[in-house]
Amino acid sequence: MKKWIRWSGLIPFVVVTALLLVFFYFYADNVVRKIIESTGSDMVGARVDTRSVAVHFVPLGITIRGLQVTNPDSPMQNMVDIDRVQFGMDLGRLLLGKVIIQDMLMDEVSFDTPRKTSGALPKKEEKKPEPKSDAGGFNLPGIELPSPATVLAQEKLKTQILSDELQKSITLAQGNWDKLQASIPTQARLDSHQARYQQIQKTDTHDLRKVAEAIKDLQSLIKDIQGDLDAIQHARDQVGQDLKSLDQQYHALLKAPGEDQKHLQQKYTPDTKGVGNLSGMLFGPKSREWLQQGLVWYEKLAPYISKAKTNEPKRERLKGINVKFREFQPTPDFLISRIRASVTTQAGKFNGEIIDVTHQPEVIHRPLTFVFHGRNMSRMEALDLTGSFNHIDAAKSVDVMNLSFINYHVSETSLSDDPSLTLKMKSARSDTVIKLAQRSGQLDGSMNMHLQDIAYDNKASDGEFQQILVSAFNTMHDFNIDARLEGTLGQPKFNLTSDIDQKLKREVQVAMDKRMEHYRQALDTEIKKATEAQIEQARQQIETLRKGVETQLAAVQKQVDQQRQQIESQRKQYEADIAKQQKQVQQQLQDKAQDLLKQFIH
Amino acid sequence: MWDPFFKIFRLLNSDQDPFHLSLGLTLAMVAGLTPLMSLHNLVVLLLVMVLRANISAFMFGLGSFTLLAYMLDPLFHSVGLYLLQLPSLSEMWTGMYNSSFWRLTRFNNTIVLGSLAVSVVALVPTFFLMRVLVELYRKHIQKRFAAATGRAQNLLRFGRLFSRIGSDG
Repeated sequence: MKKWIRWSGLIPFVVVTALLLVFFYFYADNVVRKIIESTGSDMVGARVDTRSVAVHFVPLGITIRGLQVTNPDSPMQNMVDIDRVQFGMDLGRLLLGKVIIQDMLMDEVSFDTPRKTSGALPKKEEKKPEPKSDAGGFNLPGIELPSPATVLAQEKLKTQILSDELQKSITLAQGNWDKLQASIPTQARLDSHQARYQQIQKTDTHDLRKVAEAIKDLQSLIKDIQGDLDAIQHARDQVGQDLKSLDQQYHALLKAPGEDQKHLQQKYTPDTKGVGNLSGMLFGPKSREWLQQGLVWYEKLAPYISKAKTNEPKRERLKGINVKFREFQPTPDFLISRIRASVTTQAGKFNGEIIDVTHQPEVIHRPLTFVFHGRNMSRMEALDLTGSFNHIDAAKSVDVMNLSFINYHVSETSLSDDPSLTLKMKSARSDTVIKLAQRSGQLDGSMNMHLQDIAYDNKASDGEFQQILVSAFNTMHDFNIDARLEGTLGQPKFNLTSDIDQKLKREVQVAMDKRMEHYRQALDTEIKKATEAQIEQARQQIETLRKGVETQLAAVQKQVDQQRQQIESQRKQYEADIAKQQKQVQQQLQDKAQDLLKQFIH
Repeated sequence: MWDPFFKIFRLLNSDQDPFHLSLGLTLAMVAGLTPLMSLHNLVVLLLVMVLRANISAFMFGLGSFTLLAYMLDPLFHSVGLYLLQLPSLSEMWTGMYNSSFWRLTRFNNTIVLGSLAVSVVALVPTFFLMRVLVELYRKHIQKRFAAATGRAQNLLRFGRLFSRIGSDG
């Protein structure tokens, strides 16, 4: 057996090991930097850059400067930009494969900062922008009004219809009257009555028999005259009915121009229903976009605040499975006990803490909580952000977030970039309270925003309605926006309401009323012009017919009445004469009887 | 491509002690069958340096056994999983799992434990098998193959030179 030990072999071993350690010591910064950037890029889907990374060995810690996380949807903007991230790690736990950070400091956190170069990942295909749906468009109702003359040329007026009907009725009534005229007594018939009367008058009144016959003749004449009177009355009734109907139609015709004007005004009054949903058109798309982004980020972050549902480790080829055993002191694989952050936004600076960041909250039995406060900020009196993500029981997870801004000074904000209607808030103050909650997948959220002291820089290029809206907006210096969020993470239901609609509707209504009053007058004049002559003609025709009928019937009636009176009087005279003569005869007979009786007694 | 073959034949044909050659090949088996970036391979490397293992044989063996390891991966996984799930060893694994040092060894990985267990079991038999094979080769085959190996190597060198001249021209 030769010598087993080769002591000289120790030298290269020690040299190689030392070189490895030296290499790691000097290049640890770059190695860790690469790991952070590549892992971060994979997680976010866009470039994650750092200005520098420094690894400290005693105690073990890392300081990252200039951490920039690109917004994957907008590669020229950083979603988050942190000037300094500093944290220490527990080496003992790290050797056990656990990243335990007691205290992490995030200094100067800012959002939506511009990038000098694109942060899109080279291999990633650019996401094609989704075609904008019409529902999200800014469609304002048109209010262009046709001229009254055009309207009258297009529309069939009720006045015209009634006028035509009245003309037909007048013609019909005239025809009826012409027919009835044949049934009323003629002058010849009246003269015949007169002749018969005069003949009766010639009767010898001393002859009672002839007087009685004369009375009979008179009664016959009276009967005939009564027949004539009935004919006159019948004609009067018939013509009266026709005239009454004509009067009714005429009165309806008189009202028709007003009704036409009302109908046409209603028909051509612009539909301002669109105003009722203006807040949805102005704030809806943006709010939905924010909500969608929020939900997307929530889903991206979810794996880092909650353990994946499956506990079965997935085996990778040639890598095997890491079997887990009971830990004497259970700790999660990853935990940041506390993050202290100072955040810089356009509204000013605020500070806060995030406690217990881990994807295994069931191990520490504590939810992730966060508290941020800002006071007397450059553009806000107060900001409060509190909340918790409780995924200790993944099946009954509860996430709560409350955010409030007090007296936030809104800077120039565009509400609508529509070329025909540019709505821009130059300045305003707002108080906002946002409450969001997720309980076992069910969303429950609300937002109440009160905007006040609003100053605008609104422009309407054309269109009367747009101009009305602009003037309505200019008078509206405060309004509320309320939003509700319900449904599930997969199918959120978002509803946005605002008193802006009511206020705008009122203002628009006033402006529209003024405008419509002018239109009403113009329409009225035009309708009158078109129907006045017809109505006047109808009135004259009816009047003429009425006069003709009344004059003719009155004349006949008068003559017949006179005849009847004469005849009645004559009949009474005859009857009186007969009675008188009967009395005389009776007296004579009585006297004769008394004389005979006296003669007989004596 | 053929260089490793010629190298191993040169080694076998040299006057290197079969003990050193077989020790190098045996340690290469451990390093080759188990995942290279494991803590125990640092120990293997130390042993290769300190013990009089033939380094060329170790390098040749490392490449060969690494190729073999890819094929034996399912076997290692099964063996590792069996051992890690063995109730009688559970307490030991749990103790080791709570130790930083043992966690560095990645003993709880099925492939690491399975391949290490297989290679440790095969360690002594492989050593003796390799030694016997080297001695048998030198006794019965060496003379017949030495000349052929030398000629083949010269032919290969000539071919390489010829192709280089051709490409330069």
